Amino acid sequence: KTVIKLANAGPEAPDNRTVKAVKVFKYLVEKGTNGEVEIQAFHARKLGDEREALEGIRMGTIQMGTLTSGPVPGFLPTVMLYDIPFLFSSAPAAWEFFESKTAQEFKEAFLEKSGVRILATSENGYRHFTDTIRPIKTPQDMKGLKIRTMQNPAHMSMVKALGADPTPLPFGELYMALQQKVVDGMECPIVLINDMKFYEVQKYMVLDGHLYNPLFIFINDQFFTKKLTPAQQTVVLEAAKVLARTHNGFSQEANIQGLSVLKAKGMEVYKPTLEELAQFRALAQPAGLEFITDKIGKEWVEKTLKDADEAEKVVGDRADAIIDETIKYANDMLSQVK
Amino acid sequence: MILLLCSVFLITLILGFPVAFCLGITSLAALIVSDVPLVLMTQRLFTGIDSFPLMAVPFFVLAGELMNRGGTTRRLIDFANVLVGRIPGGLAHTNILASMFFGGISGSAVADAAAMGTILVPGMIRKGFSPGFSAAVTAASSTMGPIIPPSILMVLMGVTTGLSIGGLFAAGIIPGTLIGVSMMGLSYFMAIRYSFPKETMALSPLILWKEFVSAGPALLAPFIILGGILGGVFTPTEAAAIAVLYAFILGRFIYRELTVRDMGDVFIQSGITTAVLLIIIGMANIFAWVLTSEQIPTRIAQAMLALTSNPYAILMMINVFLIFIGMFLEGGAAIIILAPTLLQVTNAVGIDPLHFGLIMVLNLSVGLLTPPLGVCLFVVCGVTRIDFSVIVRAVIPFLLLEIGVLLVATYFPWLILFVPKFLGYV
Amino acid sequence: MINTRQMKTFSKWFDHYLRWQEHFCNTMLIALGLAMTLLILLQVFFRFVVYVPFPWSEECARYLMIWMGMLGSALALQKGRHIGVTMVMEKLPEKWHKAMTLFVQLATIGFLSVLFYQGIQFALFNQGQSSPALEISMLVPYLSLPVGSAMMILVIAGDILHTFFPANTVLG
Ligand code: NA
Ligand code: NA
Repeated sequence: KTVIKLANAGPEAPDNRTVKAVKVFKYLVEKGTNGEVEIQAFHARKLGDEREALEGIRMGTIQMGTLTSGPVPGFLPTVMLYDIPFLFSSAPAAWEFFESKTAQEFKEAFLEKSGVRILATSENGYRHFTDTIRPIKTPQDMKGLKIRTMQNPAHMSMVKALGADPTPLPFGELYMALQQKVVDGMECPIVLINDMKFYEVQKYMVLDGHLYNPLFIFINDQFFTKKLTPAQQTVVLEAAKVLARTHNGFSQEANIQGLSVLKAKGMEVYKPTLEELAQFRALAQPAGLEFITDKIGKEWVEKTLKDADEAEKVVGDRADAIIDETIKYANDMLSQVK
Repeated sequence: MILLLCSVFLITLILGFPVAFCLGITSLAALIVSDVPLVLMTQRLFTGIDSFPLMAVPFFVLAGELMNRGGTTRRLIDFANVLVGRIPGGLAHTNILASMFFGGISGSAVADAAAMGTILVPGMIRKGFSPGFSAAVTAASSTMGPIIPPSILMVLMGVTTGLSIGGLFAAGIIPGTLIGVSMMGLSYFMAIRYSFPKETMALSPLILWKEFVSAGPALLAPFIILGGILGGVFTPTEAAAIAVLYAFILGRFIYRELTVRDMGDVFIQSGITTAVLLIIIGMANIFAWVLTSEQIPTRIAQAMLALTSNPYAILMMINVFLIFIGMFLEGGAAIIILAPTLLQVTNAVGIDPLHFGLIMVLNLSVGLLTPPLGVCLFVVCGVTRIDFSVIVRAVIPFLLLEIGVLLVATYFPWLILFVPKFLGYV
Repeated sequence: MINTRQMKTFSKWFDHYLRWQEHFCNTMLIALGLAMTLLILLQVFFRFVVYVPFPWSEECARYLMIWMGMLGSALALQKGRHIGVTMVMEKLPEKWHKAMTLFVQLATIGFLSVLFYQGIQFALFNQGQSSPALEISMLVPYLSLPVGSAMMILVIAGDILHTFFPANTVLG
């Protein structure tokens, strides 16, 4: 019997999106291999934070992980193509891009560099700005605000371009820093604001969606190709694709629910108009592109922009319909497990 | 596997291996048996100490050493002595009050134990308190650090379980104060019973004023630190670095007792003290991985629910279990490993999640005082170099007192939930 | 065969090395402590006085602290500052005490050797990975583990050597 230890950083609540999606994955793999492959899921950073988990997958102490792009640039800077501001106008466009040639080339480059295979790509979510000083409607409102960013120079240059002061702080200290007003605001996905109770210490949110974060489903390649039979490989790969899609669905559902929770908890949420979004994009994207081109080269940036454009066209105006469909799919899969 | 872990750990401990190596060797044995690549050890050791909040430790140790060498501590003690030295157990009260105040600034018991251990214990011994009692009251009162907000443990708790961090902070106020006040009561009682020497010097407004002026700049330190944190100028870890700077300025330029030669030794001594702690925390991080990966916490939770579904009985079992765990695991590691599992158990029997969260923090604070792995005992032992077994014996009354408060908090939930309810967190 | 006199000379030479190692660790602890403090103070200064973010200060200070932990551990071992339960061992008769002490020393060397070997492996395996903020090779922070382990092994080896072949010079 083969055991797969799967690491995840998100919280372990039973109704958490990743917990539910991984449950579906576990069910499919164990059923498809007649119980010969067992999935042991470790949520809430029990096996270490994301960088540690990815290192563990490389070294073979952990076999799989559902991790964000956060720790990836240390291994391969090319992943910064996902840090281009305002790259996707809708989540389904991003999902479409995950299947594109450029995304595939990135996965191959990462496998070669790190020995870790990306089985599928899913959604971590759009990042939005929040703060306590004043509602942000246009970039002008951000002038002088101290905004916490990750220790990611691409994000910092983007926040600077929008007129705010980027302040890198470790995530673990963020809640206290917000409460004690070391920083005025921050940027992160809705689901995270909910999970981390940031609504207790933040007043305003603008749904600008300046970045779209992917969530990768990693597996140690040596383990995948040597320890699993070809039949088992197929089962795991197919189940990982289902994991990605159900996770997309649950994530969107969590966004809808999360947003109403934030409003109920007293946060003022503003949805910018198309013109206001264009103002954000006009300032943020060139700054981000300049920095990212410098890091990963012109060729990758151009390929990415082209394929992202393709993805937008494929989705067209069906974004909302695709989201509804995916949410339904995710819940159908989960009800199968129960 | 559980048998293997326990036996290797206990044997190495009795043989007198340093605690850090006991944890390391136990984990090594488990990893070999379960066929996990051994490179994991290095990774976990590294990530265990690769932590920014942890950096408050070296800084507060450093600040403490600087205050000792620079004449700051002496002046603080003299002033405290004038104020409360005539009450039986005077300096012990100062120690406890200082820790309550410190706890309101810092989220870390370790930092408090290090600072008070360096600053107050030598003074207490000089004034005639027994070394054991001096160390014990320091270690015990430092455990208020993570109970009185802000608290690193509560942040970790909120982050791993999704509980409201603000709510946890609010819940800590009453139990934290309760512990402080009861410890002062205990010290008063012990001071009379064992007749700790009491100051008999004359007290006049003039003397009071003179000592106040002398200690004034040092007394300002907490205000700078607290003001800086609350005013949003720096994070608690940065505040610790500011404390180093301020202690240096006091010793070098205000009191002028700190020489360049002293400085080298200060860095070396505080570096060693820090290293001893870091290596234990790092090794405990390997140990934590082994426990998690063997799914031992989950199995324990299942066993608990199989026994009973009475919430009071469950809480009692959790208390006993966590006090036991606190003997072997560092608080942060215990939260990461156990809190989600235990929360499932308490939710299943209808206990208020905030109530559980605070009880867990209280338990792990008690764990800071329980050998073999009582981190605060180690810190005080490390900075004062008083024999470990002497401290352990002297800390027992305080330990019982804290367990008493823990029981009160367990069975009178309204005591904990009153403030969070008042502030709208429940 | 190596005779006792040669071993004593070796022991003496080894003592000299350990004295150098102690001196090196002392110097490093001063440098690391000073650098850490200055970095974090500068971080506050840059953020609030001149409004320039200083993205790598925190990471750099953390790595310095880890080096401090490993080198300081070696020093703590040399000065007997590590914390352990010695009550039981001290109650043993002299002969047993000596034998058990030797066993503990050898077992610790064994454990540290694993840590040393794995530390080298780990550092080399990750040298292609760059750190998030400083963008230096992770080799630099990761090397602290094998270096610290090696120093600790040498300290214990020196103690054992000293027990069996006391060098003539008494070191302070
Ligand atoms: Na506190
Ligand atoms: Na104290």
